[in-house]
Amino acid sequence: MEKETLMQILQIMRDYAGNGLAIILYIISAIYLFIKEKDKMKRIVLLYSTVMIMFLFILPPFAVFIFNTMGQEVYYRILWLLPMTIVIAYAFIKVLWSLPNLKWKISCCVLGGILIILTGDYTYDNPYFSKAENRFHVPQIVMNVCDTIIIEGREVRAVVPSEMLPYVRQYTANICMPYGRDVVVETWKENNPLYDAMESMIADCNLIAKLAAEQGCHYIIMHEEREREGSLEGYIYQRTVNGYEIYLKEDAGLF
Amino acid sequence: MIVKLIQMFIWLIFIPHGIGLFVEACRVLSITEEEVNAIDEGMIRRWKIAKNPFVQRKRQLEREGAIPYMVLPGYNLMVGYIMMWALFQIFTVPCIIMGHHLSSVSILFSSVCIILTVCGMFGFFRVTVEWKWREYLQEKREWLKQKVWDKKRIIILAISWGIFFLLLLFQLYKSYTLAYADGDDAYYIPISTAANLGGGMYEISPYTGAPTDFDIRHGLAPFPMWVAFIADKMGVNTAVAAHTWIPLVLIPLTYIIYYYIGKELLSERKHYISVFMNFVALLQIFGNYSIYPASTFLLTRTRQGKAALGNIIIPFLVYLLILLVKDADKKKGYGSFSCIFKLFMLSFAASLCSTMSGFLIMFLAATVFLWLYARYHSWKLILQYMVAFMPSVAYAIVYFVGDYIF
Repeated sequence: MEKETLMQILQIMRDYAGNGLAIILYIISAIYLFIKEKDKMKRIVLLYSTVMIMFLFILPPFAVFIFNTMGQEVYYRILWLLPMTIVIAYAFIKVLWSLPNLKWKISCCVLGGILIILTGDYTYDNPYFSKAENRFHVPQIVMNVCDTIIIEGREVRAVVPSEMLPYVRQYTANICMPYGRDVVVETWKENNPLYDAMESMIADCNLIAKLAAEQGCHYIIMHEEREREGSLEGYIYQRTVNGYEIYLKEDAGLF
Repeated sequence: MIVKLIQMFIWLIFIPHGIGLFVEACRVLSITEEEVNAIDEGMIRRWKIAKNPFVQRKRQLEREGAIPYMVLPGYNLMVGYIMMWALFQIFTVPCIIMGHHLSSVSILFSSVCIILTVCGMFGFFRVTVEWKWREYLQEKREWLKQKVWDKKRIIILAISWGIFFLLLLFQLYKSYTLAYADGDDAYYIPISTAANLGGGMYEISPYTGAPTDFDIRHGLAPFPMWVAFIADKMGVNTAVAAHTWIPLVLIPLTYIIYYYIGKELLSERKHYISVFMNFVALLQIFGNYSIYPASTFLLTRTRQGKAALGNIIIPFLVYLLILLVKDADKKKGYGSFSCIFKLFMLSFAASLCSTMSGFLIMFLAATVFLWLYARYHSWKLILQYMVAFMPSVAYAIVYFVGDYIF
């Protein structure tokens, strides 16, 4: 049991550390400060607290307690208590202090900057970043589709493709959905026949229309290039917006 | 657009600054003669008690005193945000549990914020009215004339600070122009949007819009409600406030906190602070070595409570712990009232950001309090720890009890 917990702790540390270089830089900085820093205040806040946090973090009984009370998925946040940024930056400054002249200090600054760049990872080349199309930071296509179906002063219910799921209700709370992003996340996934029908390889339109009508959906949104069979009985095609076809229930009574 | 920017300035900068001024005015006005003697000589040189019938105790400052500290906008903004978030947490959680709408919180919270800001302005005026600012400025002018300027040092400082501000502007530009596809936004932003539309707080599923059971875990950390409040005050959609405007204030706020940490660590060599800040900025920009570090959260998920926890609450706690250790050194074993009060309010502010925050801040603070206790054996320190983190314990109890009830 303890061995299993220890393996879980080490996995969390590996996931947190990424390529591990930044952590190594932090450890080297902390060791340097342990040797060079004499001020009690700085040693207590930056170094002694670090040792205690790390000691408890890798202790299996402590980890089990946190797993049971707060969940394993948030255990990594204890590592936020390590003052990594402060220790690394301050260690570089201590090195600067010890250098004899300006040329050495400037070289050390440049070297420090290069070291940080090489051991870290540039945040803005993360694949989840994209150019914001508007101030909402929501895809413009989603906004255009939502604007087409929104009715001021009342809620409408729409079933949308999975790529739109995270954004619809960020843009407007006036559009309700039969399922949301929670149905997409693997660990939360609940059986949802309508979602399965919408996302299957070939969309069964008869089934989608039946299930959407049962769940009170006024609209069905589907990409025009979606492979499908059958027809959305009971739903009438309205228009296409940015490649997405909008179907309204015949007796929706919205207008 | 201009109106929205003015509203943004008022609610994201002016009001927190005013609240910070109020706190600092109270601190200055309550400093005792004994504390003056205990305070680091570099901070305050000479005090005079002014005979003023309207103020219980007044101090007249010369040279580097608390007043120059008070006029530093960054410091008051930093303290003001913690106080503002603490007050928001105090008002909002009971309203959430009792099923009130955001409008109730908004009226109450806005009124208190405005009152505190006005009091802060008044307090600042009362503290500074007898400050010999003319003599202080004259002294500074004389000092500037006599000082032998090292041109090389000035150029290096200017370049160093210039690089830092370029790095900061770069991050702000990226936060405004880039969208980060984070799945958790599908939860937090609809919660805020629904609350703004009068749909109640945590009564509607953010994913579907259907009524739902009360979620105690998120309801006790209602940071999205603060986002909703700001969006309402600015008159913009919640997604716009969360993605576009709030990061433009919270990212610089993070650096303000690191600046004051640097000021404490580098008190003997303040000219290195700019270099320290440059290293901090680089560590943030290149801190995406995995999805878990706080630096990743700052630049990708600034609008979320957990980002505020890792990048504002925890660094501010580190700053307060540095002040606590310095206080303990002077007072022989325990912290000042000002420091403990800020820790107490930080407990509330931390609870706003995340339900796990209470445990995290207590854990980090305990490591420092333990070392201080081992050094000074002062029972006052234990009492101060218990008082400072009472809110965290209270919210933990409400969480576990609420888990059974709801």
